[in-house]
This record gives sequence, C-alpha cells and structure tokens, in this order.
Amino acid sequence: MQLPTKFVDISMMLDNETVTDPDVMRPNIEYMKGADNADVICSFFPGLTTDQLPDGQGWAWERINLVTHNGTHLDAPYHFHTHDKNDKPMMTIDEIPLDWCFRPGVKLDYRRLDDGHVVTAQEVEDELDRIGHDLQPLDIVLVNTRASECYGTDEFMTAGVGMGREATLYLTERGVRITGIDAWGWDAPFHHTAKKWEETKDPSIIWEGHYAGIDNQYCHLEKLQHLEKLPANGFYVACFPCKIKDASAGWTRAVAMFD
Amino acid sequence: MARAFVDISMHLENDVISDPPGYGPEIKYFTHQDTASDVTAFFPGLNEVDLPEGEGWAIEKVHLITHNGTHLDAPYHFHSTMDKGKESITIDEVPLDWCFRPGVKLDFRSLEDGYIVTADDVEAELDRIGHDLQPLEIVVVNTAAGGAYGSDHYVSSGCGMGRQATLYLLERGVRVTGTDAWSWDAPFVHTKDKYAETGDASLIWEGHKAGREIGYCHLEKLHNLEALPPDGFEIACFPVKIRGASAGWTRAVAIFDK
Repeated sequence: MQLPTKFVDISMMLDNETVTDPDVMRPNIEYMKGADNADVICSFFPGLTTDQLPDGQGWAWERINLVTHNGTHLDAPYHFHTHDKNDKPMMTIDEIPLDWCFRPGVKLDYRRLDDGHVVTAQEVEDELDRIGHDLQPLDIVLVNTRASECYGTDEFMTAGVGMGREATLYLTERGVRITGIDAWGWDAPFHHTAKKWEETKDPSIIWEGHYAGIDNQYCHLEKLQHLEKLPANGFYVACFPCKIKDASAGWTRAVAMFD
Repeated sequence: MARAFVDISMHLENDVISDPPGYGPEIKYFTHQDTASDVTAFFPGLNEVDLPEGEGWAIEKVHLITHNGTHLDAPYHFHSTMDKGKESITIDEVPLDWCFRPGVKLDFRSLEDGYIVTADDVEAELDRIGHDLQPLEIVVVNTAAGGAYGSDHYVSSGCGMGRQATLYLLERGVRVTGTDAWSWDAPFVHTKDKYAETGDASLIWEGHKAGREIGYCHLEKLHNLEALPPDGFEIACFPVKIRGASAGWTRAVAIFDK
C-alpha cells in the first residue's frame, strides 16, 4: 500500500469546555497529573517511596463520564431502531464491517443552505453533478454544513442543514454505507424540526434521516470538523470506531488521507 | 484496491476482566424502549406512539478511564517531560503520521509471564523473522497475555518490554509500539516480587519511563495478534482526540493489500 503523504484531521476535540451536546449529555473529564499519582504507583510496589520515582512522578491519567455519542463518533444502525424493514436485527457498533470504514471520501458542500433545511435527494444529485463525482458503492459521503463555522459558539447545536430520509436513501440505495456530517446530528437540528412539527404535526419529519436506516442499514459519523479543508474528492477516510460491546455508537478519530 | 482487515482491538465491555480491580469500565445500556420519552421531550406534543413502533434511540452512558480497552498511550502518561527535558506531548498532539504505518510483529508468546524482554531479544526476533526495521514502523509484541484474554489472570500475563528493549526500537526511529498485554511493562505482580528482592527502583515502569529519553507512544491491550504474519501489513491506530489527555481509545486495525 502506498502510504499517505498528507493527513487532515476531521475529528473534534473531546473536552470539558466546548459545548457540542445538550447539557444533559455533556462529557466530564477529570484529569489526574503524574505528580498527583506518585502514591498510586507506589501502592502497587510495597516498599517503594515517591522519592524513588523519576522526579517523584507517577502516571497521568483521566477518568471520563460520557455517552457513546459525545465527540466525533460513528453511529451504528442499532442506535436508530431495533430491527430493519426485513426484521433483521440492526447492527451494533462492534458488528460494523471494518471494510466500510476505510474508503474513498466525497464531500458535499451545503454550508450556504439555511440552518434547519432538510436536504433532498435532488440536492444531493445536484451537488454530485456540480463537483463531478460519480458516486461509487461504499464511498464515504461527508456533508459540510454551516455548523462547522459555529463550533465553539452557542449556535453550534442549532446550526446547519440536516439530511432527510429521501437524501439518505438516495445514498444508501447506491451502496453508500457510511456517511458523515460536521453538525451535531445527521438530521436537522431538533430546534428547527420542533418548529416544523408544531406547524404540521407530521411525525414522519422526526429523525427521518436516522430512521432511513430501517430501510437500508447504514452508519453515519457525527460531529466531524474541518471538512472545509477538504477538496470535493480525491482522498481516503479512515473512521474505525471504538469496539464497545453491543453499543449504539463508538468514538472515532476520523482522518482524511491523501496520497 | 481490494483490502483485507484484521481487527486487533479488544472489546470495551463490562464482563471480561482486562484491568486491575477498581479500574474497569462501566457501560450502562439504554434501550429503545427506555428512551422513547427522551425523544418526544425534544418535540412538544409528540407522543411515543408517533415514533416507529414506539421506539426511541439506543444510547450508552460510559464511565471509564482513558486506559480502558485498546488504547494508545501518549508520552505525557509516562512523565511530564520527554526527549530529555521537553514538555511531553498529550494524546491530541500525537502526529497522525505516526499512526498509519507498516507493522511488524514480534512473537514473544513463549516467554514466561513477567519476563523483561531485552534489546538482544528484540534483535534476535527481528533476525528470526528476517525483518529490516525502518523508522516509524509500528512494532507490536505478541505475548502470552494474548492467549490469556478472557481469563481472570489476563492482567498478570505476558512478558514486558524493558527500558533497553524499548530504547533499541526508539533509537531506530520507531515511535509507535504495541502489546497485547495489559501494559507495555511487565505485569506489576511480577515486578513487585523483583523489587522486593532487589530494592532496585529502576525496575519500576522502566519501559514507560524510557519515553523520558525519547518520546514515543504504545498501544496496550491489543488483541488477536496471533492472526498476523510478522510483517507485510499496515496498522491504523488513530487515537480518540481527548484534550490534554494521557491516552485515547483506538480501534487498532491491521490492513493487507489483496
């Protein structure tokens, strides 16, 4: 294999400071410094005293309370529903084929579309035409929204377009199995959809992009970052998810690679 | 190009013991039935029956440490300094370029639990497999711990990589290494006995502390290394980007061109 000559980090930082989730599900990281832990290491070796450790330092480590959907992560179909339209169990994150997770990437640029807009199949086709990309099965399709410009601000949670049922099926019917977005969710921000729901009382607009996974099981990356640094295509995406047993998602360090 | 993938990561799970008591992860699972009301709460007026088959979303709350499951240790874990006095890099500062490179496997499964691998052992194994070590290759060590996974004695199984062996690799430009044992160093229960006999504090965490001289990263708790040939594959091991942290979980994978 030819090794990549350039990497673009398309993952966001998992941290305590930046608001990228609703309050009820933010991560909490507790940091233990090396100097704080000299006693801990000594407890494993009876007789050892902290002054015998280099510079009196133990190990640095962290305790983290979080959910499987904090930070950049890959959603498994099991997150969306228990079973698909054929009554097959939805795959959990530890069952996702690794072969899906290292594939050529394609970027759709929807930064100019309004927050809360639900992208249609026609808009996907138009953008593929504009960039001149001939979509292939298992291409990893990344959606760049206005949310990327709002990272670090209070607007992040409500910014960006969402991918509707139609748009999602357009991709999965053509063999795409991994998609991704730089917003909080693959669907439009709930704030906007809640308003539409209030007007229309149409329940089919709720989480419609996720529920499209009932028709064709697929995974999506959420909370990507720096997609604006990528060209429309001509790169690989690696997004192998942490292997959490039977889980609905796994954190990942998504990376774009160029030959 | 067609590729084949070999998963070399272990599950992050509640049931299999892969950490000392008190250090294991806790995963709390919420099913689609548990969360239907969480979904409807975002959409005032929406009822659970309006959701497909009344299901919400599956989600998990996880309480864990950065060193649970398969993970990449950053030099900052080992000491506040690396490269003889520079500030140690944290996991979010590890170059991505280190994390996707040709892999080499050293087979030390026959060495006894607690044995400390020497530089000569590394050189002899590289000779045996006929591998000409290159800078930035990812060197993974298959120990007896690989076969002990799933048993209660996993954490105390396998040989460890000593200071000498670690520096042998680092001096040749290696920057990411890995082991299928709990730790890059020998299991503490064995080193504890050696320390009790000798009173020699330089034995403590010697492989990790080698990072004070040359900063490097190691993967711990790899899995399934038995399935790999000695070389002829790439390893991808990009760590989760946790701000200022000592390690990040990773899905380490070996990749073969078909």
